[in-house]
Amino acid sequence: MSLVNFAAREITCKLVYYGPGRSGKTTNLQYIHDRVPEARRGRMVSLATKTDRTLFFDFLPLDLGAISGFTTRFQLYTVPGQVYYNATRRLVLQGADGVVFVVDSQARRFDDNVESLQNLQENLLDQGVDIRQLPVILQYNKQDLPRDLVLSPAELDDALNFRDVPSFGADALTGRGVFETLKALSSRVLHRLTDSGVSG
Amino acid sequence: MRAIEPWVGQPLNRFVEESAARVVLLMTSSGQVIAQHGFTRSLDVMSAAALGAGIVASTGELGALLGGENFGALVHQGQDQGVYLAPFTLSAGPWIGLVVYGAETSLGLVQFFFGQLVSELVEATPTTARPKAVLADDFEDELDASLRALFGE
Amino acid sequence: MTRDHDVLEPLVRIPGVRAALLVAEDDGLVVSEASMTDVDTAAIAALSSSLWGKLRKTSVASGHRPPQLLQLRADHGALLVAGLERELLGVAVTGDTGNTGLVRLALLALQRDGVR
Repeated sequence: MSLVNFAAREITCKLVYYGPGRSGKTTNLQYIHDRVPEARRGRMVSLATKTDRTLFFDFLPLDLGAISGFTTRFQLYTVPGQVYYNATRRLVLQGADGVVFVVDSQARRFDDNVESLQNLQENLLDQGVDIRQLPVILQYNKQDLPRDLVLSPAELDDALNFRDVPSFGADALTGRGVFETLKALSSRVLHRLTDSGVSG
Repeated sequence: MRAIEPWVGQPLNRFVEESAARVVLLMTSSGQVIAQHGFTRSLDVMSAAALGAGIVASTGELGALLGGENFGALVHQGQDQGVYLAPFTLSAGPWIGLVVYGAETSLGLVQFFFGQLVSELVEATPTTARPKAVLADDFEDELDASLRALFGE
Repeated sequence: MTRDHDVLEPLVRIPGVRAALLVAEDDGLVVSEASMTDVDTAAIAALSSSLWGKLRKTSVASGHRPPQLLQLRADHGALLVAGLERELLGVAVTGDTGNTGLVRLALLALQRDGVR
């Protein structure tokens, strides 16, 4: 749940990058970390195994500066993608204001994407959150791989994007689509704050 | 000391004074910072809160998995300073306190005054709901500009 | 009265003693206790170890040796603290009718003979 401080006019939002193992969630954060000036971001906290798979979560705080007079901060989290880490995924998802679902566009990983998307829905439901009520963005990552290995954004939209949420083709390693994804989610999350609010 | 919720300020100040704690962080169970004392950089506070909430959440789950009850507090005693991490419940929801203390005080004092802090917070919790934020219609332009500046575009 | 430890037995047998504790000097945590149910032993342990630490520093800074025993008299009783071996403190709380003389002797005996 986003935290709004009226006295100090501050907004803090929790954004979670979700998706199957090795779909590029940490790469998204790593790219953002590398691009953003040090004064505007915190240290990237990575709790990873020896083989660089996310064990608990990655965390990157961002300071956006003033938006509508509110000092706005984002907390970016990733979850571990591997199926057996569901307990920790549930913990990280707690209180999320919005989710980027990072899809591995490789055709051979299609089933993993479906399974992870279902898992997201279940974990949200467990916390009493209807996925239809939460800002979600789909990011079709690894679009830079050879065409015969990956499904196109249009194909993935057909197969995964039943709710017609915003979706972006991406190549997180080079940063293509990373910014657009973050921007789209931020905008939806802040819109939601506004839509559900009363004048104050 | 900085507090997102103004009613937290006084009890927290008292705790800092009496316990002689070096760093104190109050956060929600999902890692959102409520108040802090002793940090110099807001972004470091957020990282500490994320890690603290992660530890409490995972220890709680571990406890549940092993059929035990939820724990009261976690203590890490280091060479020069210790960390005291304790979940507690207010009517506003589940919160967590993270306290870093040194040789100028003791775990017993931190624990004792933390108990008092929690009681004072329970008393001070306002019962009325907060209004929601309303952003200006053109906030998207500002968001766009902020993100572009962040990404150096 | 609950009793966790034989070492505290001589203390709690003294009339008027409401609580007897072994406290870790550095942590201010209860190591062992015997007390009436209405006594907040965790608070006594934390605060008396803090008080003891300050007293020890003051004593040493004044050119004296570390204190042996602290006796704090209040309106309706007293607090007695003695430094023991292995960085432990012996702490006793008495009520109005407490025999502080006997408590002092019992604490000094603990100091001399050790807690085991």
